[in-house]
Formats: sequence, C-alpha cells, structure tokens
Amino acid sequence: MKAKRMLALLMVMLMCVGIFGSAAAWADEAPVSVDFEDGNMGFVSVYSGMANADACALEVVDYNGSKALQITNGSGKVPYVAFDVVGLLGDKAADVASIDMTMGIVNPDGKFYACSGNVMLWMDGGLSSEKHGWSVYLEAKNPKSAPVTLDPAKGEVFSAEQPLMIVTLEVDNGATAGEANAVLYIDDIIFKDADGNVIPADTTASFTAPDGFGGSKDMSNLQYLGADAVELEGMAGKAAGAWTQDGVDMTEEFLAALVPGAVIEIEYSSEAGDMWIVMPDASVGWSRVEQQTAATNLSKNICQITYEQIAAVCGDDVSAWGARLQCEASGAWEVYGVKVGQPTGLKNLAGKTEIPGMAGKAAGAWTQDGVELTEEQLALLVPGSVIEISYASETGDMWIVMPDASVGWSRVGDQAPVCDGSVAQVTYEQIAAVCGDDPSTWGTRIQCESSGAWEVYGVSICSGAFKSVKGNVEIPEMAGKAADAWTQDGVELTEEQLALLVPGSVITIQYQSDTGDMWIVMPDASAGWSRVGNEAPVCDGSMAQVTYEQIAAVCGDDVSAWGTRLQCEASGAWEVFSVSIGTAAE
Amino acid sequence: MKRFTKILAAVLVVAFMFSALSVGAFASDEPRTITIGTWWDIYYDSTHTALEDDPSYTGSLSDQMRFDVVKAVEEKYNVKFQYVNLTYTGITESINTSILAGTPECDVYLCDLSMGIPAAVNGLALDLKTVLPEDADVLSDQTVLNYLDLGDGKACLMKQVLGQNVVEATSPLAFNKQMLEDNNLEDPRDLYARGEWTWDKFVEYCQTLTQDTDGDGVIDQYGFTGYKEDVLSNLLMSNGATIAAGTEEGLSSAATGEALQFYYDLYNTYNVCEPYVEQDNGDVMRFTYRNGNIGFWPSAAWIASTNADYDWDGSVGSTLEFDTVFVQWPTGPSGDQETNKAKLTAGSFWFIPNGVEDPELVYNVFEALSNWYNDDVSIRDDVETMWWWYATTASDPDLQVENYDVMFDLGSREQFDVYQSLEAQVDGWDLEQLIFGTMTAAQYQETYRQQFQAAIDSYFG
Repeated sequence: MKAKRMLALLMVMLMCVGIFGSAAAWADEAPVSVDFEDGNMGFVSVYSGMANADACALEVVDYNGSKALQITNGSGKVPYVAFDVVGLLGDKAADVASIDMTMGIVNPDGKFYACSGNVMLWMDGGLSSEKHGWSVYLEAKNPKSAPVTLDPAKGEVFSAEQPLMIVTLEVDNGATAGEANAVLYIDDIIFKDADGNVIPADTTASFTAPDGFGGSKDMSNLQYLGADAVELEGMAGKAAGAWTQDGVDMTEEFLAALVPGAVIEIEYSSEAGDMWIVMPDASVGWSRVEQQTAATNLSKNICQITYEQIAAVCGDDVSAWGARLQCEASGAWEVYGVKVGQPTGLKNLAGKTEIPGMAGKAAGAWTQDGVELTEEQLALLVPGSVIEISYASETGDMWIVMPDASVGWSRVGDQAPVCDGSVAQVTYEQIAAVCGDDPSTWGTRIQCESSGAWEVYGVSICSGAFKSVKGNVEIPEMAGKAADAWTQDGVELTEEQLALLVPGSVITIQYQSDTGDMWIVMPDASAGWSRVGNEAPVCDGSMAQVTYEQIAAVCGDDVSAWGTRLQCEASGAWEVFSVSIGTAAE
Repeated sequence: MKRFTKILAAVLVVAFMFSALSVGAFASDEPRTITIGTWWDIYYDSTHTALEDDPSYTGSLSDQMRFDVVKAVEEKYNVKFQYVNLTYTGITESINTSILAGTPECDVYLCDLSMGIPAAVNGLALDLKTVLPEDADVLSDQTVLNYLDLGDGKACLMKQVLGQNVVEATSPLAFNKQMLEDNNLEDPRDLYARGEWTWDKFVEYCQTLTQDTDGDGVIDQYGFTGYKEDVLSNLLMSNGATIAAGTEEGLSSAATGEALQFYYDLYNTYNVCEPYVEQDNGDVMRFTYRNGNIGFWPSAAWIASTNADYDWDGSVGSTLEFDTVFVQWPTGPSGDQETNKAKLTAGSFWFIPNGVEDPELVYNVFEALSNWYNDDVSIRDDVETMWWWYATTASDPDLQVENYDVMFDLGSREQFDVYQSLEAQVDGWDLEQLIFGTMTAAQYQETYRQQFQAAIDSYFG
C-alpha cells in the first residue's frame, strides 16, 4: 500500500511538472500556418472528380475552443477536401517538407467511432497515388495530430502544376455501423520547410483550380446539350419537401426552345435521388411527367426529360401544356438550374488514348493541321471507336481530315458535325462511310479543321461509348468491395437482382483501380469461371459497363446457368463504390 | 486554442489530484480491462449483452459458445475485455507511436505481415518466450494458438489455430492418378512415406510421362506444368531455401541457386514441361492440367474449384475424367523431408506489445477467448464449415480425405518468406527468363540479388 501511495504522489508531481511545462509553452505557443481564427476558407474547395466523391459542406465554425474547418458529409460518400497550398504559401510552397494538422471527429449520435483517411497531393491532373494516412482512432485522442512527411523523390513537391493538398475521410466506422456519418474538423495546419521552420500562409488567398480539377459534370446516362441551351430563370434555388411541387412560368425564350427533339435538363439534389417535372396547368389536367423514371446520371444530381416525353402526357400542342413548369421529387429537393436545348449527339466515351502531338495545333479557317498516327494508334481505330477532339474555334465547329486516304483527300464529320464548341466527336463508322471499310486505306495522317480559326487542346481515340442507362437498381452489398490486382470479390445476387439481367440490361460499376480498368467475373457459371468485359473493357477509370450481351457471349444465353455470384476484378488494386443494373436507354 | 488549453490543464490537475487522493482505489479489486485493437468489428466482448449484438448471428452452437466464453473469461481472470476497431490506418499508427513511446494503447493488436514483421523485428512486439512458461499452448502443443517463426528464435506473432487457417493457401503437388497408373509408376505418396520422394525421382517420373502418345513425332504429353509463381515457391521450400525470410536476402544462397537451377533444368535440360505461355498471369498455366495430358502440377483447392473439377456443390457434375491426387513436393538436395516448410505464410496475426502490464495475464485471456470451443475441434472446424475443402478436390470420398490430409500437412508447416510481396520492387524480375533459358540460375541470382536486398531493407524498416 505504501508503494502505491508513493506511486500516486509521484504521478501528481510528474503531472505538475508537465503542466508547468505546458504553461511555459502557452507563453510561446508554436506558430501555425493556418488556424482558421480569421474565418477565412477561400483557399479550400471540395473536389468532386472521383466517382465516390461526396458533395460535402465546408464551414469555419467553433470547435474544441477555437475556430476550425468543419466538413459535413452530404451523401455518405467520401469527402475530398482540397487546399490551395500554392495560393496560401506562394513561392514558399515548393519548400514544404512536412505538414501537420489537427484532426477531430464528432459523431451525431454522441458516441465515438474511429475514422481514417488520406492526405495526398494533386499530381498529373489528378490525385497522387502516394497517400499519407491519418486517423482518429481513440476517443481519448480526439482531436489529434496528423503529421505528413513529403517525399520529394516521389514527386511530392508543391508547384504551379501541383498546387493542392487533398484530405479525404475514407473509413468511417460509425457509418459502417449504420450510424450517421462523422463530421470532420481540421485545425492548426502547419507547413514546415526542411529545416523545421513554419511557413506563414496568406489565408486571404482564393482557391485556384488547376487543370482537370473541376472535371466535367457527371453526364453518365445523359445527353450533352448545345451551348445555346436556354436557362429557365427563377428556377435556381427552388426547393420543397417530398411530393411537393414548386416552379415558375416558362419564359418565351424557354418555350421557343421547347421544340421536338429538345431536352429539359435539371440540376438538383433530392433526398431520394429522383426528380421529375409537373405541368400543373396542362389542358389535359395536372400532369406529372417521368415520375421516378426520368433519365438520371449516376450521381443522381442531373436528370433529363425530353419534349417527346412531355408530349406523351400533355399532347403535341405545346400551347396546351400551360405556362407553368414545376419540379417534384419523392424526397425533399432543391433545384440549382433548369435549361432546355437540343442534344449535340456527343457521347460519354470510354478507354481514351491521347494522341501526343495534337495538343496545341492551330490554324486559320478551312486550314488543316495534324500528325502522323503510329501503328499502335491506328490499331485503335476499330468499329465502335470514336475520335474525340477538345478544341476552340471561332465558329464553334470542328471535324477531321484524312488527307492521304486512298479514296482521296477526305473531310469527315463536317456534315452535321457532332460538337458543342469545345468537344467534337467523329466515329469510326463516319470515317468508314467516307474512306471505305478498310482502315489500311485511310492513310496514316489525321488532321483537324474548322470553318473558323481554331486551336486543338487534345485528341484522343476512344474504345467506345458508354450506354445511357435507365432504371438503375443498385446492388448495395457491392459498395466498398476492394481487392488486389487480378483478385476478385463480389456478392451473391438475389433473385430480384438476377431478374434484372435481361437482354439490353447493363451493369454499371463506379470504381477506382490502379490500372484504370475494371470488369466482372462470373465464378460459378456453368461454362466455368468466367471473366466478362476484360477484353477491351468499356471503362474510363471511374465508370465501367458490362452488358447482358457480353455476359451471354461468354456464359451462354441461359441466365440460370450464369451462377448467382457476381464479382469485380481489375489488373491493378481496385475498389468499387457502387454497382447497379439498369436498361440501356437507346 | 489557448483558452481551451488552459482549461484542459486545470481539469487535468484536478483530475490527477483526485486520482492521487483516491489511493484507496488502487487497493480495490476492480477488473482490469483488456483492450484488443482490430480493424474490423469482432464479436463478442464485455460490451455485448445479447447474442443478437452480432449482426451475423445465426443461432448456431458456435455463436452461443463464443458468447458464453466472454462471461467465463471475465470470471476466471477478473477482467473485462473489449475489441476496439481502430481502422487499419489507426492500428498502424497506434503500433508505431504508442508502443514506441512505451505506453501501448492496446493489450493485444491484430496485424497483418506488413505491420507485424516490423513490429517483431524492431522490438515492439513481445517475445512470448520471455514471459510465458514453456508449457503455454502457443509454445508447446499449439492446439489453440501457434506463432510465426521468423527464424530469430522469438515467438511474437500469434495465429489462432483453425482448420481453415491451416489448409487455406496451401499448394500441394497434384498428379493425374490414371496417367501414373497407366505408366506403371508407383504412387508418389508411398515414396514420400518411405522418404524416397526426391527431385531426382520426380524428374525420373516426369521423363517417363513426357511422351509422343500419337506417334506423330511431336510430344503431346508432359511430365509437369505450372504457373511460375506457384512452382518457384514450392521448389524453394522443398529445398529448405528462402529469398526474403529475414533481413538478409537469400536469393544468392546455394539452396536457392539449386532451386532456380532445377527450375531451369526442368524446362531446358530435362525438357519434361509443357511449353509455357509467355506473360501468362496464371489464367492459362494454372489450368492446362485439365486437358488430361499433364502428369504433375501445382494445385490448390481453389484451383480445383475454379472449373468445378469434381462437382463440389453438386450443380454441374465432375468435369474431369481422371482423378487428381495431392502429394507433398519432392525433397531437394539441400532439403530435409522432416523439416522442410510447405506453405508460405499469409494472413493476419495477433501480438502483445512490449510495455503491457502483466502480459502473461493478457496472453491467458487471449488464449481462453480463442479457445471458445473448449478444445472440441469438431465444433471449431465443424463439417459444414470445412466440407468444401474436402469435396472440391476429388469425387471419391477416400481421396477427398487423403487430399485434405496432404493440405493439412502442408499448412501445418508454414514458411515465412515475403519475396513474392517484394518482386514488384525488383526491376526486371521475371521467372520466364529461367523458363525460356534466357538467363541461367547463376545469372538470375546475380542480376537481382542487390535489388532484393534493398527491397528487404525497406520492408523490415
């Protein structure tokens, strides 16, 4: 007992020493680069370029006795929060050798669940594969420090091309247990140089997005509208509860564009993921159009409804549709914009291979410039492939020229060009229609041309186009499956899910993989263990599609002989964010 | 932050003053809480009050026993215990920071090899031999727990003994029973039983089996085939060789050289192998035995099940007309049938960190928890759970048992060697250089020796 009392007293003394030591430290608190005490957060942005990216909310709030950046999960996906380090530190950003941050977690139910994520740089127009893990794994150590030491040998140096630090929250034990997602707090960011000196930051800096950061809107399953699409004024910001409508009267300009072939596009959020329109004053009576069936992207934040779909409900006479257009969803919703326009015919493309040497080519109106294709590039020109051109031109159009084709100097795609002023697409079939079915007679030179002065930013040969899919039904157990290269993981499909596999159906996988590819495996097929879609996979690094017909070609026409197990696989380490089965819209 | 820090400091002072005055608590008999760090949820522990707390509860006897053992352990050792899911990143951080600081946050850690090896090598994981009596299960009978032998004489990384843990990831040598019988070759299992199953005898068998069966002047039946990674690992173990089993590379060792030379000779000297498909990732060479013209090949339960060789679920009928028989790999000139290892270590392990109070108690609690089946192996490895491992390799029930026994024997002799995990860091490494004879064994060793050492240095930290 005496020994225990002595031990206890010793502990008190040690604590007192520690506390006085800390007190001394108060008077000389270590400087930090960003403490959020000024409320500034203009140098931070949410990155939404990943298929699993969450549209999280950012705010500077009081946390743990000071100001901190609060990151609130919006949809249960992974928050990717980008900090413009070059904006904050200027030229000194290149000197950053280490980073430290204070990370804290708050769970809405008041309990503690461990969380972890990664810190990485922006590299080569995307997220670096070099990741530094952070974690808050004990309640007693929440919040805690998250130190990162950069490795310049692996390219981890901030620069104009690599200006960002991205923080993710990837493992949320609370959410895994079925609770609400954790709220993440970041505070006291310290950037240090190799000598350990803290680099001061200009927190008034504004976030500057590098090339590729904004990405493009998720247009999966949707049609690309022309740049002349007409916005419906007054719709942005409309919001209502589930099964409640709100909207505005259509403007004359909007109605003028609402003609056969036109498409209404709605950007929105809704708790249930769906969205449709209501025409309350239609002559045929109050009418819902495409209730819970509108074509929707995989992110469930853009939907499209065609003129013909409205006409099917309200009749062919637009003047009988009434002036008012409303939105509605089966969950609480908000609309960010509504526009109408004609589809350009542009497709979502998969398997892009850049043609080096085309970027930067420019010429005057009706003047061509281009490159010689290599044998490897020519081999990519197969039926179904598409040439995609990123460009600008005074007149908005763009097409290609095959100057050395056996049939003679040939323009392709100049008649009714498929383009929107920044992207143009020319299909293999279009070239074949002009130059003949044998690609060996097309010549090896490819050129761009426009009716106005033009410049090209990049040309790619794409292996094919994604299918637009309707009625996607998610297989929830697949979310989060992950494995190493050439390793499979998956689930047993239920009878209901198997019943979705009918001719014309499409399996859509949102994923990431080290090698960019992804396909499925049917391990229990009667035909034997079968890979499907691994030959020329239709994927773009974040989305892959495998059709019923592809499976049937490998496993036979009888779905009952496919086995009930569906697995994913890639040639690099992979993770799947969602798998759904729907029906091709075309 | 400043105001908060002051408040926190004041609270800490009060808290510690209070705890100092509460010295009576030191004398109390409050149960100690044993914390077990994991990166997935494990059931059951002292925080659970009902069987249904485990979402995967099925009402089985094993569920009930895993639930009941909690109370029994609490009472026997006067402890509470708790599995804490720290996340994978969190458990790595906890190991690397708290143990190093001398104040481990958990009493037991779940780890994989990438965490466990550095922890063991760098002294973060407790050597159980220093605290446990010699008759502790993990150091003696190993009926409940065994440990990973890193060749340093220590016992740091524990694994729970489960039938499935033993047989999984084993790669026995398989042979076509009818082909050997047709060629009047004695069953290799009998040779193994007599200690006569050697590389020399194996070559003799392969040479007999390599034939032009239709007399067209072209060899169409081969003694051996196999995916390169499956073959090398087994040749190494059968010759007592390793490449990355410790901090010094073993690629340049004489035993490894013999294994590489034997691999080279099978293809280029004895010419008893089926022509190899270049850059195959295992999809082809692992499965050509199904053509029926191969005598020996590296197999595995999963390989046999991939194409439903023997109708393991009764849905398709056996798809092979010959029987597959498993046998141990033949012994190389530097190997020893009695001591050769036979399965590359993989999977997850447990360790008690250095710095933990009363580690013997911690071990006893963990062993008792692991023995939820009260030494009744028939419950632990119940037939329903293990049935697939039997049924997938053969149709004949006797052969199913014999093949399972070979897998179990191989799985009981684990070899720690992480060379396959490091191959990607060795620029140019490709066993096809031996298969196609573009590099000799000696050249292969010399070419990649230094790179392997660098990879090992990085791995062991």
